[in-house]
Amino acid sequence: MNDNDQQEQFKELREKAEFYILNQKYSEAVKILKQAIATDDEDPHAHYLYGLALEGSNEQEEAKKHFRRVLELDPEHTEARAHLDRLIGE
Amino acid sequence: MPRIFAVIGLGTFGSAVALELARRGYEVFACDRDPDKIEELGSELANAVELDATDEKSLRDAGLDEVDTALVSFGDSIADSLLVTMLLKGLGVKEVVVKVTDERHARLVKRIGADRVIFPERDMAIRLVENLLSPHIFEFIELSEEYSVVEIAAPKKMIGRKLLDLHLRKRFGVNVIAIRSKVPVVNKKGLPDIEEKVNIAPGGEDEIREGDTLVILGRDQDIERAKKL
Repeated sequence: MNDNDQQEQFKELREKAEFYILNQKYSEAVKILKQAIATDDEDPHAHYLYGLALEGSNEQEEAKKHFRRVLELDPEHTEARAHLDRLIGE
Repeated sequence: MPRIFAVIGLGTFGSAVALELARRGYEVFACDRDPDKIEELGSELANAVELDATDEKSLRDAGLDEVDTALVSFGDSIADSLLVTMLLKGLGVKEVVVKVTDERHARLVKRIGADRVIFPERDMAIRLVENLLSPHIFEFIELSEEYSVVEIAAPKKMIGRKLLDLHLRKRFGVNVIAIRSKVPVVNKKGLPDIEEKVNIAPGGEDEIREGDTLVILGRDQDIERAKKL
């Protein structure tokens, strides 16, 4: 698979994960995002979605790791910051 | 008439209580004998006064006889806490709440008329232990020796089922008094996000969804059984 194909596949997985999150199927989104992140670990949006899906599945500790990763990649990500702050305070 | 509060002793706990009451729009007399603390909080609290609360005249002059509820929050001195509690009751304060540091302190202040005793360090420690031992229990409130309210992550087996089909009351003798849900939304920037919604006194037709937290009331032993579902 060339780079373009891989990128396309990654985008597709991310979109699928968004769909599952917006339909409150958090554990399905978790499965998809695990795959996506195995392909590309440098995408802040994928980590943000992963954090949301894990938080939605009540996996708070794992969710924190991904929100932290978002902030490493994009320190200005206000949504990830808000989720992390809330989870740490809980 | 809205209740008037006083917070005596502006350490970490006392100042947090005073600021939160003020934020909610209540009148709060906040007192401490340390002028630095008064200066620190003066901009946020309209009625922050430097005062030696162990002196009855100072309390009366500051208008403490007019408050409805007073919190006595001294960190280090049990003797001061006892004396101030006694003085406040003597001034006619209806409800005196005292923050205590140990059981002996609690027994003594109750004996001299405290209306309520709080033990934040111990209560927080119990909650922390509950949470460390059971990460899916988010909150634990002991109502009596027998009854508690706990918040638990909805077990996987419950997802997609209606409350009435779970027969929790019949099977375990527990009641679900609220459901906290993580509801997906799209935020202003167009990003997916999750918001928490609380359904108080849910009905039988309400369905348990992924990410839900159940707030359960029941006897401790019944809650334990329900948690194993």
